[in-house]
Amino acid sequence: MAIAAHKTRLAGVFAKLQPYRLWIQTAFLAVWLLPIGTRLHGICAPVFHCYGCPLATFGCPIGMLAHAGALHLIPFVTIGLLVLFGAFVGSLFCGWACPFGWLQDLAAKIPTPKFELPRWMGHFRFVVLVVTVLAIPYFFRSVEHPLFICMVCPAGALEAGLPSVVKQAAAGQQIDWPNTLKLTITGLFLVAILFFRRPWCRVLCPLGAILSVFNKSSAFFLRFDANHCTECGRCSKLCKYNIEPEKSPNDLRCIRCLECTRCCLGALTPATILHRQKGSPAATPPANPRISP
Amino acid sequence: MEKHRTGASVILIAIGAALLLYGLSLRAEVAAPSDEQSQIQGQVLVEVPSTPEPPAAQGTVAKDEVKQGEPSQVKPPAKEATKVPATCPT
Repeated sequence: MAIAAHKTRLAGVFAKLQPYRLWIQTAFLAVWLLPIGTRLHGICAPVFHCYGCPLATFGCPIGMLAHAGALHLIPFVTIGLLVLFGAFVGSLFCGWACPFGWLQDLAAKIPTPKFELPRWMGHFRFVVLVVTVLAIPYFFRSVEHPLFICMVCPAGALEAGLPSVVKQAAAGQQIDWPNTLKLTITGLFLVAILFFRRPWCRVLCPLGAILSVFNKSSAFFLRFDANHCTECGRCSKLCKYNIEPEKSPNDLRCIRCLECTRCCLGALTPATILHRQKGSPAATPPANPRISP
Repeated sequence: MEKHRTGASVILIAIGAALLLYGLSLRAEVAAPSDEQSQIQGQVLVEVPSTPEPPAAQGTVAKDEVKQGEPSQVKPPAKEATKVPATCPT
């Protein structure tokens, strides 16, 4: 009981919610998919969901950034919202609310062999962000460039293109297929989600890249307490994304699924800046006799 | 370490809130123009694709802002908040 005593109320709440994360992601679909019969496309949601989707409630922040770049405008509202979301919770939305992440988590339930992705591939998200979301729209001033993010985005193909194709087919109209590159990327994505966990989020997602930058400074964060760590490595085993949470609890590649907090010793706990810990955990030597010299 | 985090997150929250409020105020200005001239300008920016502009209103649009035959390419003035296209090209 002494081990659990240091845990905050917030940690207790997340510990109770953790087993139901997939259901919580499912419940968030009710927010992203037209719950009140209106479209608020002028406001972006902190999740990767194409606003070409017939049911999309909010705008896609990446689509809004890219389109504003093509118009040489500064999207103050979108940037402000992203900074706010990031400053409050970092990439917590990726792990708990994103519908595209939910789709990949569902696919990961299919019993196929799962392979690990090299860690360095996580940096490729920033390349995607800079090239396809910022540079190409800004310099080419076009939303029709073949590498413009919306022209290659698998979320657009699945959430906007697919319903459109079905609708056209049902109406007996000529089908307006998405471009070949987009179909190829979507096909590769659909295969990849069977063999890798969250391949889009970990390698390509530009929104994840933006939100992850805030992991190091967000008000919500993962606290590592060396006093409660026995270096058993269980948290690393619990992490499905090849991160070592005990070394870097607020890593750039972390989607904050909080699976690592299930380690019963409680060295890793969700915390906020409002719950200040007495003393610096990094400076405190491990008190556990099993790892003390 | 956590002191730095507290300071950084508070600053970021303030920056985010400031950007959001500034963006919303720009949108509000576009949505509710204060004088008659900006009202006409707003109408022109919105209605360029469908109707020919009245001569009085044409003067409010810069020459390089409208390309003939490409109504969708109308460029609003720099740094002005406008609606982003509703859908991405699929």
